[in-house]
Amino acid sequence: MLLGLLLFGGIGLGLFALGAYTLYLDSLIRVQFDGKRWSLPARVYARPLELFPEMKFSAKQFEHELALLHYRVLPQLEGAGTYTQNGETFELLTREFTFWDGSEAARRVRVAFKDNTLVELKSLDDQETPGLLRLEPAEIAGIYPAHSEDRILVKREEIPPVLVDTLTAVEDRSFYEHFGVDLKGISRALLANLKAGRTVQGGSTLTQQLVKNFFLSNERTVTRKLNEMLMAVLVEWHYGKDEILEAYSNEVYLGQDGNRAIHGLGLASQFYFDRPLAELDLHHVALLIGLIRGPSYYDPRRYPERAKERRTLVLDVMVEQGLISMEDATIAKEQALGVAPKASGGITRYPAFLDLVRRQLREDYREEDLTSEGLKIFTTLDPSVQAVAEQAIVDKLPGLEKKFRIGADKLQGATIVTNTQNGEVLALVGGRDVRLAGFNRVLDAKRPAGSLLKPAVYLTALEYPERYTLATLLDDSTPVVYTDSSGRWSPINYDKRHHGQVMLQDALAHSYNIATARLGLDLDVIQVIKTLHRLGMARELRPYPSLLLGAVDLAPLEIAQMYQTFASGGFRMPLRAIREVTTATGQPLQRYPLKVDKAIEPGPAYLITKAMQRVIQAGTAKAMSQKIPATMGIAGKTGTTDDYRDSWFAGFSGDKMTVVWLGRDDNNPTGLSGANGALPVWIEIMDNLYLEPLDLVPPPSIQEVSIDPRSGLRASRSCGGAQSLPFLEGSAPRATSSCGAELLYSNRGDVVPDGGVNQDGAESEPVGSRQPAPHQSAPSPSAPESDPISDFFKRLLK
Amino acid sequence: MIKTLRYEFFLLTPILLWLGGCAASPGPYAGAPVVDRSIRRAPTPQQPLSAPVATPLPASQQPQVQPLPRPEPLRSQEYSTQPVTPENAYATPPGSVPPVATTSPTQVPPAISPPAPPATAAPAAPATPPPPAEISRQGNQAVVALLDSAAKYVGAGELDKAAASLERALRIEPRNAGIWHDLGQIRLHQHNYPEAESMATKSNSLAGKDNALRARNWRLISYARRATGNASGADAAQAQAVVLERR
Repeated sequence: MLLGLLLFGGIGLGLFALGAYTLYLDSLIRVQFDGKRWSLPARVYARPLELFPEMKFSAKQFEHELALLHYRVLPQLEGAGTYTQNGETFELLTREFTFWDGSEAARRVRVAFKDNTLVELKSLDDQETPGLLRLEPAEIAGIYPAHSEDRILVKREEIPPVLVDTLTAVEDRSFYEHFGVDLKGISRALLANLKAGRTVQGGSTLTQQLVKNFFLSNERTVTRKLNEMLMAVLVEWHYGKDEILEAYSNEVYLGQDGNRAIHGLGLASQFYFDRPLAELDLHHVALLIGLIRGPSYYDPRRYPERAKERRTLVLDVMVEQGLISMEDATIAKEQALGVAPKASGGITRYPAFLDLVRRQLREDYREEDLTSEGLKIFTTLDPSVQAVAEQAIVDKLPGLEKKFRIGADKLQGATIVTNTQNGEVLALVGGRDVRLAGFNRVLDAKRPAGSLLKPAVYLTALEYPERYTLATLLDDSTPVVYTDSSGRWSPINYDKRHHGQVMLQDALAHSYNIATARLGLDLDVIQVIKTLHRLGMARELRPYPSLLLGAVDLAPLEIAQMYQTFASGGFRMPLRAIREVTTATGQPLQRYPLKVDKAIEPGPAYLITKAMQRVIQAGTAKAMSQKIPATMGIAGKTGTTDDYRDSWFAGFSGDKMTVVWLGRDDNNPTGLSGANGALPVWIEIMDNLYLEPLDLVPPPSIQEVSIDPRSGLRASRSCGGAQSLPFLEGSAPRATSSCGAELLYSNRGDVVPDGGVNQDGAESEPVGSRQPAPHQSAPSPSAPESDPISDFFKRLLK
Repeated sequence: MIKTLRYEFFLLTPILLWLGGCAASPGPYAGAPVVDRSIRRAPTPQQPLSAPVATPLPASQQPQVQPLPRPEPLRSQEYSTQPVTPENAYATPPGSVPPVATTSPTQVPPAISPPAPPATAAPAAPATPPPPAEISRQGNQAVVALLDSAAKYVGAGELDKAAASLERALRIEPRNAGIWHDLGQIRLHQHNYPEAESMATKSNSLAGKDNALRARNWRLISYARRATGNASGADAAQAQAVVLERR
């Protein structure tokens, strides 16, 4: 009696415990399935190629872009992702893609090029020809979590029927009939294994396999097996066959790529065959399903023979189950494995650019969101421009090393290319080893900027038009001496010479240190710092005079931010690498919009850009005109630092701005100046890109005046070598020079014939005595109190 | 059939019972190792930018407090000892205080009170959607398609998408002054006044002799300035517009 009671109680308790446990498992299952929480890495895309008639693009570039998108060239079109090519004419079937602002449908179009221009864009399907065709963006990277699972999610309807049929035929024949556990299958397998004396068949259903992958380890214990069976039943109870199939298709483990585990049919299809699931052929399908049993054992890249055997077996099953005909199977068996060479996989082709993307993302997203939510990140990278930039660095550096006797592989370089009109980063090269995710010199190599900061000094001056114009004479001879508590500073010019009185624009074009230092000190270094901040330099800067000559350590990215403001015509716009972010399914999450902030008034912006054009026309970057036509109107600045440790060039056309830095990581001198180091690399990049000319439109406040360069005054008819210079209205010099004919002038600006004082007997103002502005700041160098030229004329008067 | 079932039934029940017993006690079999590879917490990515509705600025709207702007000179030859620099153009470096114009003639406190309601006579009143660019568009279907798309979005109140279309158009024709003007209008609707002014200025730098467009840009600038409390700057801009409209 007691025994009976105990037994009853025991059974009851057992059932109760079982019930509780079942509920626990049930909730676990529901959370996983209902939440559909797949661990998905973020996918990073380059900018989508947008095609429109008349765009400047070549057939060769188009081929390159199609290759990045894994389009296949065939004799005739065979589904999405294929194209035909006839000379410079292409017919293609594009793939559908969902962007931030909507979907682009799959299209059949013809695209033709001629003379590096797109001349025809025509729809070949029954839809209208689009004015603008946006292709899907190339995937350039994934951002992976620590445990590095990777997958491309597929929906049930995206799985081709033949794949589903093969899967059930091989792995779970009665999938559609059983309730989670296939008892017939188990017993069949048990018998077969007993007969064979070892495990030859598994009795697990797809549902059980799914449960095992989701929740359980690989232990081969009875407990685990029973758990699996119970959970499989629960899953089938809650979810339909299609949902289970979808989950299975996205979870199944199909290979290893270094650190990255390949999960799901979608990614496996790309990983092995370089195509999306929908584009697989029969023999691909057979191999893919065959891999499930042992992705490592049957790895087609390492064990092609085993893979082929396994595929044959699968094809036989397909015939046996009536899925395909004997002929189809025979053809399929004859095919090569069709496995694509392993792509760099989880490692991106563009590590330096991805670095910038991650840093910008980190401001808005946590690492977990980035590595597990499957976010889609649309970037600004232009693969064509990136290829050119990389090539230039890789090609030019060894030559420079030889020429200047720098050790082999010692010279390093970095470059960044941006769109002048919207601040988008088109290309980023962090070092000469372009595929390596190493030290990113664009973002992290802080080096003295040298002469690259000079335009900020000159811009500051030009913003005081009543004191400084492009024609203002600056003294490049009298030494500038600045003393404070830390010592004495007296800069010298690079060529160790003095150049006398030079026009402001020429002092910049030739990068004279003395004239610049004098000018900067007159203006007050604090004002120059304010200008730099206005130009977009975020770093806090100490007001040391040496800042005027660039004794500040800056990264190429910071330099680029500053020159972006010049290149855009005086508008500060933050450099950005990301355009938009969406969820895995294409729901828009965030956009990084165009931000524009006026930083320079149009007048001074025009003047400083004109001065920077002079750097190329007549200054330190003259060598550029050998390669890039003068009509381009390139503006820029060379930069060389102490002892030739850093070689810089920053310059822009109408549409592209590029900064190049060369130097050694160990900071030893290279012997390269900006002009013979960074400049040739810059030219190599820009010369291989399509460029828009820099067409400067003078704002209404600008007037052109003919100037005599030696005196900085208006040129009279007797002046040879006169130059037409722009001036803000009313700031042009009032006096006219006689250019060597020794004339004196009244202070009313009249030209007076040789000898003697003018009619009213007023004291004449000696020629060439335009003093710098009286504005004095903290210890300033001595302004020339006695001008040798004015002395001469004073003596002449007597 | 029945035979097999009964067999399994008799086999399974005790096993299940045993299993239940195991589960009940946290012993050496404390649950099979259940590795939950599901994601543990819900993500909190940035909320989508809410598309502002294109309505006129309500009188109660508070503008952002900004460093005191310097009035822009009307004509460049009218400089005093002030440099020709733009207002509000200082990026704030870390750790420093945003500079305040020390020589501005009128010390208007940062507008805490509501700004003046928009001049009802202003043709660029934000209640109307921006017209498509008036600059001639022959030869470039791509831009036309995008501008049409932008106009549609504005009509639907989806300003962010309209801006995205305009930015795409700008990538194709960056020197199209009309597109810059339209973007300026969008920024105005989004209450981003400094940027609205910058876009209009950029448009002006490309507008050449198109006085009508330049006048519209100055009106936009005037509106943006008034909305941030810069009444004198707004008047100056409006005067510029009037001059251009008369030409």
